[in-house]
Amino acid sequence: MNKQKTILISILSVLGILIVAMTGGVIGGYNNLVDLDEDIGGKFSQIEVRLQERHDKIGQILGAVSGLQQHAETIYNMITSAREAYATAKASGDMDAMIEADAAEAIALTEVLLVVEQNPLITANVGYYALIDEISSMEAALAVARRDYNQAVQAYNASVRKFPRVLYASMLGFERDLPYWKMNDGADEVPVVDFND
Amino acid sequence: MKCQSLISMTKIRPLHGFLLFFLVSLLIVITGCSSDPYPRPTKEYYINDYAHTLMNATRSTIVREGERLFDWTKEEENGGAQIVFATFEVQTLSEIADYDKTDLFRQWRIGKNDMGILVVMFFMETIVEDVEYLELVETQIEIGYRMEQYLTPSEAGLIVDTTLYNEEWDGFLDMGVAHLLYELLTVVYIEAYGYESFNYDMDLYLDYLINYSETPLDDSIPMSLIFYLLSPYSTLWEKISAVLPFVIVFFLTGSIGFARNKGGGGSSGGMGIFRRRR
Repeated sequence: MNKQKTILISILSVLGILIVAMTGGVIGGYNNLVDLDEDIGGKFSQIEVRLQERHDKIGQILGAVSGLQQHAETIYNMITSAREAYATAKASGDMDAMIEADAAEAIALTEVLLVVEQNPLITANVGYYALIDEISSMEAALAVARRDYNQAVQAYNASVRKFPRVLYASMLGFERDLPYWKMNDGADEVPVVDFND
Repeated sequence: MKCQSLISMTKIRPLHGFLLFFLVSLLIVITGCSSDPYPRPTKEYYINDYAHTLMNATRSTIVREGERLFDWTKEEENGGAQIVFATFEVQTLSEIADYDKTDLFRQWRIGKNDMGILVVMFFMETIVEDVEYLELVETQIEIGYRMEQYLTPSEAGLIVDTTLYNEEWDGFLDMGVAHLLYELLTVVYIEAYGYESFNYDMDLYLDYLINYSETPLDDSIPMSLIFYLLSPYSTLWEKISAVLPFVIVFFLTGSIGFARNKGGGGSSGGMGIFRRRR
């Protein structure tokens, strides 16, 4: 009788330990996924902040460089439509459309640089270097924000797909494959100021 | 026979214990150390002259002004600004792409409250009339997250153009670097912390440069591994793993070198400038 009781207690103890360990593992895993998810949210906000800064600066930059307007009406149109597209995508929460608008703005800024390069009257202006610094810095900051976001998404996606989290992540409301912020090759290249003595 | 065996085991045990302790420590250190792509900051922190291009007076000035800026501002709101200089020698221009100023800034954790500025200068060996020398080929500035509101990229670009690349200092790198430092300090003291003025005199600095004669700083050697593990640049796991090697080194060498300065824990997001000169 005593022996049976001891065996029963042992089995119950082992089961209890297993349940506690599993519950602890699930709670720990859940908290870790929450942290990773929050990190993605923070990194996404950083991209939004940088994009907003770019929107704000574009107008100032174009206004500061005299003579650009008459050469580049198409650039204004490109930038305006990219900004409108971004505003619409942001309002609707369509991430793919946001990425497209981001890329369109990057291309429009590259066009600005090309027009400035091809027109000596504009490059002679003091505002030229300020323009390049602002554009290159904005693009560098955006590239870093995108990279940080993608690294956060990569960490989250890998964590969700790993065993044993893969068993309960979707049940607890965590998506399996969050999308990356993908840019076309070359769209996020940072221009470098290059001048001779 | 049995007794003999026990005795011999007892004799060997302390040695085994020590070896085991040493191997485990070594293993922990090896696994605990992340492979950072860039050198660790020097003990002086504010100057990291890995290209060996600056005069002792300039290095000393950068360290002195860096320490003063940090000390004077650390108690203020968003205080603890740090301006750090680094120089690297590259073989080709394309090699510069191997350096990411944002990663370097984050690795060195410049500026408390994200109030940091990192100036990186790249040098390449050039031969003019059979004389070899290191030429400044590119300058990059990375600005900490919170510092961005006080130092815009166009402002930073203008400062570099009018100081480091100022024709007046052509061929006199140290004057350009000092001028750059003083202009950055002016922005930080006045714009970020509301000082009424920040005065400097480049003629006086030239005299100081010529007459300087002090012991060179230890500013081109990365800080020791032990200090790195105990510093804020390392991760928590690295810090934990530092305990055992710390003890070993302490008992074996009797001393451990400590760095004079360290980073404030700041981060940056890519804002800054690139300036290339051919």
